[in-house]
Amino acid sequence: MNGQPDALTERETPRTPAPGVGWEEFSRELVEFFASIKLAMFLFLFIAITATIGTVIQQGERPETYVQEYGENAYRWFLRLGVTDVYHTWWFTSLLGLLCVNSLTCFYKRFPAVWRSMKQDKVSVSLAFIKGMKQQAEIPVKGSKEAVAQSLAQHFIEKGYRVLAKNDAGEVTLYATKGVLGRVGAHMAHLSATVIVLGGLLGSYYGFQEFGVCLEGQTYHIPRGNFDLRVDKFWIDYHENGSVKSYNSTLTVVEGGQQQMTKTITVNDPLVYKGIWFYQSSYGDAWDQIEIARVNIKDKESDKVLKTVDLEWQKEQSIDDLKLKLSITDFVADFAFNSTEKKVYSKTVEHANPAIKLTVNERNSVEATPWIFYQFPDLFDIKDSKYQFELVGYKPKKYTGLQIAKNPGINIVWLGSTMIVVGITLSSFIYHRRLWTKIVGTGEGVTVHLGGTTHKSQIDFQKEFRKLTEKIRMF
Amino acid sequence: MVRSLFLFDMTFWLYLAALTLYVAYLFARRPSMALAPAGYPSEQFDERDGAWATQLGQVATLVTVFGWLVNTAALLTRAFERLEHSGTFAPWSNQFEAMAYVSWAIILGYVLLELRYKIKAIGAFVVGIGFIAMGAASLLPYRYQTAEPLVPALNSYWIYIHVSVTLTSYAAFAMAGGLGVMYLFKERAELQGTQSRFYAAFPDLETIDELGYKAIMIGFPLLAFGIILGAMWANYAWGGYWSWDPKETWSLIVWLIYGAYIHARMTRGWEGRRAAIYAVFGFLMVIFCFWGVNFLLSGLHAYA
Amino acid sequence: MGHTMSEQPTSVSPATATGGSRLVILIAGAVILALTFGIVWLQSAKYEPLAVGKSAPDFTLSDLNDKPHRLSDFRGKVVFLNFWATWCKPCREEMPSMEILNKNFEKDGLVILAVSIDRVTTTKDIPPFVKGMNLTFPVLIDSWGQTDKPYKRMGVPETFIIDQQGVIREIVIGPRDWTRLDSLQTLTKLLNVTPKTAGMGPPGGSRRKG
Repeated sequence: MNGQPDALTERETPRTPAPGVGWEEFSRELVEFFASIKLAMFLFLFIAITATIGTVIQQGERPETYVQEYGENAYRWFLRLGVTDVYHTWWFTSLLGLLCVNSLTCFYKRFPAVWRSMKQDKVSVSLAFIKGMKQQAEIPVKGSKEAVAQSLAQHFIEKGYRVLAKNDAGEVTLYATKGVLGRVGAHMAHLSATVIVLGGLLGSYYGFQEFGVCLEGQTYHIPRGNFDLRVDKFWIDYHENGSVKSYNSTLTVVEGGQQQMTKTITVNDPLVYKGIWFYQSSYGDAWDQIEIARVNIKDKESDKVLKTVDLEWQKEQSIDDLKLKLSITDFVADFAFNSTEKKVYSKTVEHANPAIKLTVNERNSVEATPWIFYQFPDLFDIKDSKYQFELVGYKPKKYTGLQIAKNPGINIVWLGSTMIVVGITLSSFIYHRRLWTKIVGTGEGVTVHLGGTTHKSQIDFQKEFRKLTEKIRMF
Repeated sequence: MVRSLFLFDMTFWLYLAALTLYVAYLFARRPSMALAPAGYPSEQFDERDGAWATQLGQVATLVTVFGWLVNTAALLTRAFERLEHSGTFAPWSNQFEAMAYVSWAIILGYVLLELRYKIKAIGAFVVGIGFIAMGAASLLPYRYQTAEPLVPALNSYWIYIHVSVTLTSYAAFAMAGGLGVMYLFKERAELQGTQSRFYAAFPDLETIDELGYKAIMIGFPLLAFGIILGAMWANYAWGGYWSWDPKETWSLIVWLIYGAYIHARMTRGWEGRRAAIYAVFGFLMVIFCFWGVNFLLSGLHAYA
Repeated sequence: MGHTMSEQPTSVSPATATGGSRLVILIAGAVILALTFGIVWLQSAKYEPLAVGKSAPDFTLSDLNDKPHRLSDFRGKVVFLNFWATWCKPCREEMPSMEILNKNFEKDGLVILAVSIDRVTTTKDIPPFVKGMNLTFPVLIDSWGQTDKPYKRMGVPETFIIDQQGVIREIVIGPRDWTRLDSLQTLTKLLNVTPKTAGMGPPGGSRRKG
């Protein structure tokens, strides 16, 4: 029987009779409710079930995705119930809050008893008390009361028990207790839940998380920290088989015009400065810049490729024999045209429809800035030019994806985490056991009345009890 | 890689042999055999049937130990193979290795359990689960069984602690699940009044129940620790210690489920049958968290 | 309800069994260990990496009309064995060039077998895929992963070029533009043909990045 832990502690003081529904009675009921195990079980399971929702239905997606997958009607319900961002809804947060209240109330209600138990002196018990226990034994032993009591107390102490003794006329009572730390552990775990939630709240309100797309050679200002971050270098290392081994960025912090620190970051190894963390999160191909473009210059009449040039980004190149000056002035990865603003922009970050803006200067008389498309080479024609230009390849510019974050609540979360792990471990591996012994003198010796109880782990305790009984027999 | 695959295959067959022997042991016991009540080692009781059944049980134990040793060798060999190609060498770096590790932990837990409580009947159930885990691992497609280098995000020392601790908790819950099944078997037999020889070697229900509880009591703090370590790793890798991705969320769900179990045990009426069913249910959730999330749900954490 | 000993142990407990039975147990354990070693050792050929020069593992798979095809039946022809899946984008990009290959070299003795590794959840996408691409070569379905371990497949697409005697002559991991001359070297050598002239370029797109 893993029983009611408080069955053997002092009974609660009887309720003072109050007229009608008094505040005392009401508050007592309230505490009972909030401290109850049933509430805890319900909350654990209910939170588990609602948490499942967020794993089955994708969180934080664009509305179109939901409408496509589940239909308009379902999507509207999703919005109403908060299904698209379950973990931040008011009701989910309230459940977590309720769990905190539950664990705190439990602590408030039950910890004092545990505390008392630690200091307790429960030596004054009756024989009937011992006889009524589940584990009890009666062992005749030769020897005097005092000698036997001494040996027994010694044995208990060797086994790690805290022993209290009481000498009465005709009998000696021993009380041995061990492992109350296991019960303390449970309460530590309960408190920790609130600590973690508090840390989490602190982090959400006063912290931030941002993502930065950064190019090599550029310096970015970090407003929240009032310093600058320069990306000195970005590179990717590969394994022999071609897969990515690591991607790394060398970053320099510049504050007040001075270089404060330089670090090469990679995944799992961020940079910290003034409490702001920079993580190597990802990388990709920039959608508005390239490094090199390979352009074919074709003769319009014969349709033959006269020359192939590699143009560097925004660097003019002269091809003297054809009397051409070319340079790339712009690039979009996914060509789109905004007709109201009359601007070209990149529809997405995918290189779905790449195009370069080529500035052409032919014989100093023809000047044009056409857009050349990678997938549609014949789309553009420069009227007075002798040549047709084709984009046959390009080397994209890689950007480094940095996650920038600050979390002032993190240490509180770690504190709470440590508490919960330590608390649960103590609670799992240490169990609170208590043994009472009454040594009564008989004619030729003594009778040892032994009784014991445990908070958990019945079988192990039974084994221990049996061993103890045998040991006493040998006294 | 060839050497570790060879050893993993041997492990599979040895666990199969061990399971078969344990089941044979259950059938070989005669009903006149005295049952060992809780807390009493069985060798103190009169063995009234021949040494035949007992010897079968001992061969079962020996083969289990052999299997575990080969499993250990397989994991070590895999670690060496990984060391040649990449920075980290944890032999639990992909789905296959993780499952082989869980098998290893289940069998280790079982051997320790048998050493302490000497109840061989449990072997059929717990070694059974260990075998199923190893079997499922060997059914994985080839590309999961190789020792391919890891993606940058996994290439960190955190893999040594976070993953191993969490997987060990899964093993503990698996043992509890096996014990839960055993409990239900025995309970049904008792209700039906079966006198079959099969149940002769089973310990009493209270023992099975308590051992299952113990297994969960070990798994629960391990899982808590594993989740926290995962949060710490996420904080170093992605800049946020909790992002509610399916894997993180599901491990929390599993933890909450077992948390409810632990609280339930303090309430009257939740020992025994309900606890056994709950332990099996919890284990199914663990399987989903371990396996299902990787293959059925997508997310930041889908490293199979 | 104290526990007292009702029986004293009488016979020798099995844990301290006689030396004889302990030996039997050890021998039984050793035999089982040796047996498992033997079983795995006999199959150890399957761990060897699949390389050029090895025989292509045989298999039997059904096509879209449920007609079974066995790889070894194609001895005497050059087999272009391609593994793909409906959810694999590079496979989709590769298919048109494979179709062109088929049209050009079928008469020279080339057989293209496209094995889909789609599991049961996506096999329904195969017929529309094949129809949409107008593929004329046999498409086989391996939804149970029969070819996975023998071919040590790491991903899709993967192509194995097998000669007339069933020996692997080239392994291509990843997609390829099968209309480019440099992709066809092994094939043309095996088929004993001169490669067709360029101008087989596909109508639009799929030019490689520089």
